[in-house]
Amino acid sequence: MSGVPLTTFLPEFGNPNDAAQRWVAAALAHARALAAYDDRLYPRDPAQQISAQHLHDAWRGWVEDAETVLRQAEALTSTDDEMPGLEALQDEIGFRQAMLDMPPALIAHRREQVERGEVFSVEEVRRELRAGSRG
Amino acid sequence: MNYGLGVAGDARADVHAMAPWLQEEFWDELERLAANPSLLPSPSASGDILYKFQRISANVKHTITMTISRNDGVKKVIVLGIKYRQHRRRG
Repeated sequence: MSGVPLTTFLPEFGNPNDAAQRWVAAALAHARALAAYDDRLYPRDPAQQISAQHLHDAWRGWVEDAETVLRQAEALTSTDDEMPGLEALQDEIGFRQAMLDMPPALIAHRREQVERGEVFSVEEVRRELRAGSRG
Repeated sequence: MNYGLGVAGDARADVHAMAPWLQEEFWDELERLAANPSLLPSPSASGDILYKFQRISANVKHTITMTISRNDGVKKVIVLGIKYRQHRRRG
């Protein structure tokens, strides 16, 4: 990583539309590079938890940069299909934001619940939801 | 072959947090995965897997992300976490 935010130069040079399109493509390429490690996001081996947290931290940095790129690109367009990659970037940001709401420690805790037998069937959870909506 | 389905104890709160219509979409998707586990990424030797799906309602795109434990030995899929984000579509 360069330490220079991905979007530092976005508003400053050249045709803003072309520049935004290049940054959208760059953000998506960055995401693909990180996604190669998706199978390490939630390790079962406790010794791998720190590496997994570093990976989540990298995704958090990506989301911050990608949201800046997205805001710039959206400011230059009126529809999502006007710029190649824009909708894919929105999708990836939403996917990764939701993923970041599930840090490795949280999932490790829930895995321990499963190992202790704290698992509910679909029918049990649905029944619970129905009871909750009535109550 | 159908896989069994389960929801980890605290993951129930994630389902509760979703709107009722999105809960139904979630159950439908889960049953689809149980009926055809090949739709899921292959189980990793080292960790659990991520799976996402999307639904569009009233021009709002909902991206649902699940962390799943897939055990081919006992043919079971257990949901460990479910979170979602929404984004209004333009145009």
